[in-house]
Amino acid sequence: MLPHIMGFLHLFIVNKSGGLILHRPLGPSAPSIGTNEWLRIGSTFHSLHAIAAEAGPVRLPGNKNSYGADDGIEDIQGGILLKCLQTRTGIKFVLTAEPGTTDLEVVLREIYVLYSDCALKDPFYELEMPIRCELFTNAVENLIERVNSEGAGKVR
Amino acid sequence: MPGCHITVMLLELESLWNLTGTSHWIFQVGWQVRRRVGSCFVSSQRSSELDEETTDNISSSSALIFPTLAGVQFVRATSHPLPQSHKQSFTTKMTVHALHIFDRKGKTLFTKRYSQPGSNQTTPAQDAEQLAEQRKLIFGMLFSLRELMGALTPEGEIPALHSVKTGACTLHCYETISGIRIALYTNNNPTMNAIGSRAGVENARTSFQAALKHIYSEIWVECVVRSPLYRPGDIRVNEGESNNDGDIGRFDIRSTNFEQKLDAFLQSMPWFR
Repeated sequence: MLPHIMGFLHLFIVNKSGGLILHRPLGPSAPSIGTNEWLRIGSTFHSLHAIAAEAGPVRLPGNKNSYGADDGIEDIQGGILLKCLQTRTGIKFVLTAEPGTTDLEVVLREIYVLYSDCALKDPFYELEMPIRCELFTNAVENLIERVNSEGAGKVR
Repeated sequence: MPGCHITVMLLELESLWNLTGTSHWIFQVGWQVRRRVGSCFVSSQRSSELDEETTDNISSSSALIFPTLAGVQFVRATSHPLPQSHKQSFTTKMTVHALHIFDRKGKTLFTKRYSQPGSNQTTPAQDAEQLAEQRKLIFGMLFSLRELMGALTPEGEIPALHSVKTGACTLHCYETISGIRIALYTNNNPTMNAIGSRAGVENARTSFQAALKHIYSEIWVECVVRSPLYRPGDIRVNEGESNNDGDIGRFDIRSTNFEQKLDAFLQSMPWFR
């Protein structure tokens, strides 16, 4: 009987042109990555997301997935878990976590809701620009704390 | 002797098997056959050259290879039993779309499609070119994703890329230390994902990893690398290539029974088609 291991590492958000608009460490074991490196990671991921759909032997009709967004990388497993949610507007939310972490998709959806509540409804926020909303970052912090404490409390 | 097709025996002695009497008997029989056939014999000089390519779990085995006049074929006298966890993990059928093997420079060593695409009006030559382009994309993607994972992985973990899932299909990847990458495209199976998200996460991922590792170490190394005609870096892609004059004398993977063994292995997996 193991408790849920909640080891979130990073959250980063890429706009529809491939530019990085947010990067944030979510836990103590997240490796520290410089700003330039982050920008490089963001744009590399943006291209690879599209290439993955193109390189596959089969394609979805219209290349759109079930959410109406363009098909691309949804999930990567390996040394870490990586989950990506692409919205219809082309924004990609990417969450990385240590192997064994559960409910990544749920957390990603919650972050999307927080983005639309805190960042998009902020009258001073410009679309596709880096997010500088305190409300959003605090809400994300609280969400991760809540998920970590819930995960530690649950026993499988 | 000329004209008669002799199937050769490939013997493999592992440190475990040395203890049983059976393996010694097979070894003796093999030597008898060799003396009678009188064909050329690949000496230990060749096998020591090939040993660099073998993986860590084929550490103490040696192979005797007897080429015949009709060509080289390998029949395994011993076989490794498959771990039973393969058969128990998956209950629903998945479809395997394609399998590609790349070397460390990105060159395609082997490729096979199991599912045909929809109607294509392109000619076979154009089709082959499209497929070659697609393979270059796959290799580039695997290479860059591996680097990305390396940047994002924390200190304690070993960076590795096991699977990439898109809305349409899933790509499973196994990379060896020598840089050989095996890429397997399957469709998305919700059962596999459900298994993967609970405690059995090791099972789902490692089942594919174990299968790909088996393909490399038991089928690729045994059939291709240990073939006496194989020269690293000089292999010919078997699909879609026209008969170029420059290819005569190069190693063709069809001279081994790699493809048959690969198909047999994949079909024995509960998740094939």
